Amino acid sequence: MRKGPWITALSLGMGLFFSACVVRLVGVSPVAAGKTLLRGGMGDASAWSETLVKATPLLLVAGGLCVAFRARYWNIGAEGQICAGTVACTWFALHMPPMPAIFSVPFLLFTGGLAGAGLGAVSGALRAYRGVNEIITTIMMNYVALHAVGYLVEGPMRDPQGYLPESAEVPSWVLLPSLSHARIHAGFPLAIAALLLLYVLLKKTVWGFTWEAVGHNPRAAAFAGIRVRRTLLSVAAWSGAMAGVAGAVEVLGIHFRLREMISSGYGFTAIAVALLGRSHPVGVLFAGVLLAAFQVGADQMERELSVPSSVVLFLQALIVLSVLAGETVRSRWEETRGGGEG
Amino acid sequence: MTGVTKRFGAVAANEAIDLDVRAGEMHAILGENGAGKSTLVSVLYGLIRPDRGEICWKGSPVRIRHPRHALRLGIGMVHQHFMLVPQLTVAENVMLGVREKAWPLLDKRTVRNRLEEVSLRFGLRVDPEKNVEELSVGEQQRAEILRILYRGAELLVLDEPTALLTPQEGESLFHVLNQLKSQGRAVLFITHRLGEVRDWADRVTVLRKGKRVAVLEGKGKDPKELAQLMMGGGKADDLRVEGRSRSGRERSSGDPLLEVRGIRLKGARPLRDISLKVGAGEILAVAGVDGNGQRELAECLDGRRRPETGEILLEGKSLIGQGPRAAARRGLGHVPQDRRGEGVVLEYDLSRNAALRRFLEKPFSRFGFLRHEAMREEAERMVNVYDIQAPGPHTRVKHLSGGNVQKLILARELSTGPKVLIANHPTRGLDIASRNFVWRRLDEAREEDRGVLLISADMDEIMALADRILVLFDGAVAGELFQEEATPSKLGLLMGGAGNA
Amino acid sequence: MNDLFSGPVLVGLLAAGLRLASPLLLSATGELWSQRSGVLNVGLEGYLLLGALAGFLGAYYGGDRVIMGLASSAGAGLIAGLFMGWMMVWWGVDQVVAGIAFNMGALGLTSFLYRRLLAGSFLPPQVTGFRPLLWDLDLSVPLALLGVPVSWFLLKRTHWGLAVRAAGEHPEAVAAAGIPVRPVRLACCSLAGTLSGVAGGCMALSLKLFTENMTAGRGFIVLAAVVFSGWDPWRVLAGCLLFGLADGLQLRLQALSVPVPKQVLMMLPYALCILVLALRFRRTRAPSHLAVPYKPG
Repeated sequence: MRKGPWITALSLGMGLFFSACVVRLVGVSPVAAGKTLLRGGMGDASAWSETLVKATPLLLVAGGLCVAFRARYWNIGAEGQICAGTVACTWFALHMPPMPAIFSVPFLLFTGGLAGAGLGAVSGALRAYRGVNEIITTIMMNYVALHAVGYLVEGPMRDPQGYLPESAEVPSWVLLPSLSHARIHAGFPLAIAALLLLYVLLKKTVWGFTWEAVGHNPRAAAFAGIRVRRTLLSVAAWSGAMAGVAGAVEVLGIHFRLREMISSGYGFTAIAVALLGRSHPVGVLFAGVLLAAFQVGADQMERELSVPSSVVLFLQALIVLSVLAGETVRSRWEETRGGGEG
Repeated sequence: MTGVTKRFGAVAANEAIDLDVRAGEMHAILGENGAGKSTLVSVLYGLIRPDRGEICWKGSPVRIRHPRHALRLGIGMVHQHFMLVPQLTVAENVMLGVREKAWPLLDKRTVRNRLEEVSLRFGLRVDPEKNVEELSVGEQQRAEILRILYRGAELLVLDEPTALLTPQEGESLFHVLNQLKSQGRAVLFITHRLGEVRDWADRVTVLRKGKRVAVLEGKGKDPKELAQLMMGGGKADDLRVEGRSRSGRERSSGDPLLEVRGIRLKGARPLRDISLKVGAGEILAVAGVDGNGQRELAECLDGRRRPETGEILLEGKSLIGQGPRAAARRGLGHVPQDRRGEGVVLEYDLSRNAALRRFLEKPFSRFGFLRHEAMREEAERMVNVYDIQAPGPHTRVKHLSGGNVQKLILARELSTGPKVLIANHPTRGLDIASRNFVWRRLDEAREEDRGVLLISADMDEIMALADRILVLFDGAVAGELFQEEATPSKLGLLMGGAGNA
Repeated sequence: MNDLFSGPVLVGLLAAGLRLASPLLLSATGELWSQRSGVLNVGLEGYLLLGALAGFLGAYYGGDRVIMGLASSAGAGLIAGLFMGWMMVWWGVDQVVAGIAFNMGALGLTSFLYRRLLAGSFLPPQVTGFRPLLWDLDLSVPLALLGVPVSWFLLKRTHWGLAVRAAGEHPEAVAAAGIPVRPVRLACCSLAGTLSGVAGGCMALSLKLFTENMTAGRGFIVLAAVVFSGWDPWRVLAGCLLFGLADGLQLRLQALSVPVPKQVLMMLPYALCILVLALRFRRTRAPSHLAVPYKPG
């Protein structure tokens, strides 16, 4: 594995290079764009705080995806699961009796997680017990959930006093405490803690063993006595739960209400984060912060250089593809060295 | 047709090997697993490029870069794993890649006529409109041979052609090959079975450890002499497990440890009312050609599949619905058929695979936390006791050779002291040293009063190890014999579904 | 509700359904070939988007001509298909992951290019696009429908079709028969890209404009259609028609101000997709080597 990170770094470089070419094609200097990007994302304290704010949901979702991807369960439904989390969290927050934050916050996060888990589990069950491809079902669920949110903020959950399609603001006792004057809130350390927990689970517990075994070789896993179907269902629920928690965190820490587009692509970016981080919590940490910085920097880039921020999506994709190619190179190389079968 | 000469020289797998095959000749390549036979033939067929050496076809040197090229020259190969697409018909398989006049349209009629002509000429009867997956193994092989004959092959190369056939099917295959020989074709076949060389080969080239050791007249050769050349050490007797202390009948008279009653399973490969018993200190062999229900039976015994009716009892207590882990805990060991696909997780290292079946129990985990130390120690112990060649306990199993993987699996299954061990095709594809190792361990298990259920299609293995033999055909028990009354031909008849002889 | 099922309304519904189904069908036909040969294109959504943008830009900059739009969308799809095919077939990257990444990239690229090139006008730019042929149907319909019998014939009755079918089930046998596997797969993947590109172009030309992420998950509906129709051209036709009708119905119901919230109606095609997949009546079998890269030698 020692060569692995080098190849990833090299692939990263290739991805950046190709993106620079595309940017140049539309008449913008890649160097200027790059500088603005980095400055916007990591240039000063306020940039950093924005980055970490954006990174929080990414880390949470991508952490859950680590689990799913290791079991080769392709949960692309994070967008929808985040939505489920926001809905559940907001609803409970608005209908709860007053109580100290130390109880209300964990409870609300839990409801978010539960909602996300539920949504994820539907696709998980379809895959585990009917063999239905989870990529398709989770993506379909995304649209269903997104539209559901749209309906809720215009209808049942709409703020009676406001004129925007969004819910009432959640009461103040449920907010996540903020750290320093910036927008950073307690969600960030929570995400770090979650990643830490995931690391332990993955590498040191029987659950990690199970997930990876199912991902590498379901037949051998069955032979080892692992209930493959149940494992698939549980990773689907688990990754859904993490996404749901991320949604709840966004509501309680940033938006303070339910509205459309809370997610704005976090679900998909988190997939890129998980892929770049090789489904490893530490990798996810770095990749998550990096991609969050790109997002923030891209907004800056749009303001200053009028380069649309969606170029960042393109950049992400190129990087992921380069890393994938690097992976195949590495495994082929390993094959010729490691020696074949007798 | 003038003679055909080939000369190879390649390092490592094949070292400076010379081989020549004449028209109208049946030539065998003899060697144990790993001697380099497949490599040599792959070079001939254009699948591998030799580092050194040259090939002369019909007197002129050629460079064969690709199977396409080989086929065009007239060299056709029948692989062990057939190059037939199961979901297509025989005719479609033959048509694949062949440009008839109506190209690009598929001209089914012309092909069918030509196929009939070819199959009549060589006595290979196959229904061209059937899907390959519906054919028996023997029929599939005939289809494969037809396919290359259709394209005008003059030299047929067959890789272990009788590996998947009953003895009777093997006989008819060789009759067909003889027919081909008499019509001027040349046949080159790879085998590790001495009997085939003695009965059919005009000449034989013996390979050992990548080198050519001898080229001799084949017919009527004493197998012991051939074995000596193949093994290079006069240890031909190692091929048989040393003497029987008790007869098969005696051994089978104990109390049954494992009992199976009336198992039925629906599906593509159904099981019809199977019953069997394995007693302490006995090796029961379930013989049969692959695909007659062995895999399904093994999965039922192991707990991975649930039979519709019937009972499976281990020491009198039911195993049905318990799952593989419970079965393992109660003392059922299982060496699976597909060692790389089922028995281990290739990406995991030795220590994780050593604990694969018991990772949820002490000492390998506690309160959900894995104890890597314990797993590593277990792996190291297995490496020592079973002499597994591996760089270390953290090597990924995918880097191990087949023999070593099998040793690991055996070590793992035996380490818990199981009451019954199921060994499913345990020595398939292994070299002789590993095979003898496995046989010795199974014999040991028997001496330790365990019960062994051996599922195999290897006649040598069955004759060498079994105390009692059950033959499986088409999902049902076709017959049962004690070791002392069993002969390969009796077994072959039962395996081929011919009923009790 | 009564007027919903009256004659002309029904015909209108069917026509709309057919028209909405055409891009799905085009794309599905291409993906059918690709999957039969063993290549899984999760990135269909990306091909559609690229094709939509290319089609729109082609018409916009090409003198407002439909043919320019179709040509550019085919070209864009072909390039994308070749690129992805190269990655998946020659490099052997994980097809699922690559497809997901590709979708992301296509979304980013199309949004980026569109805004960069055509931002700054108050009204969204439009093209004339398809002219209606009959009953509100346009050119995309016959294009798509043509693909079905042609595919069926080619797959069953020609050597090319045979090679493709074999490549998805048993690539080693194909190689042994002397047919190079990887070019076959690359060709099929490129076909999927091209047809999906054209499908995207049709979408843009039908709606006469381009919006970011206008495909809204249709690429995945196509995937679902290929899967649950058992990789057979005629059943794929049926499947796409089903989704097209659902889409059309949903639009009509919105227009008729049925007392159902519009978002629930919009969910309809997606929920239907899940339902259909979950209720798979027949256990149809995928090509055995689908998404398994082939390594020669």
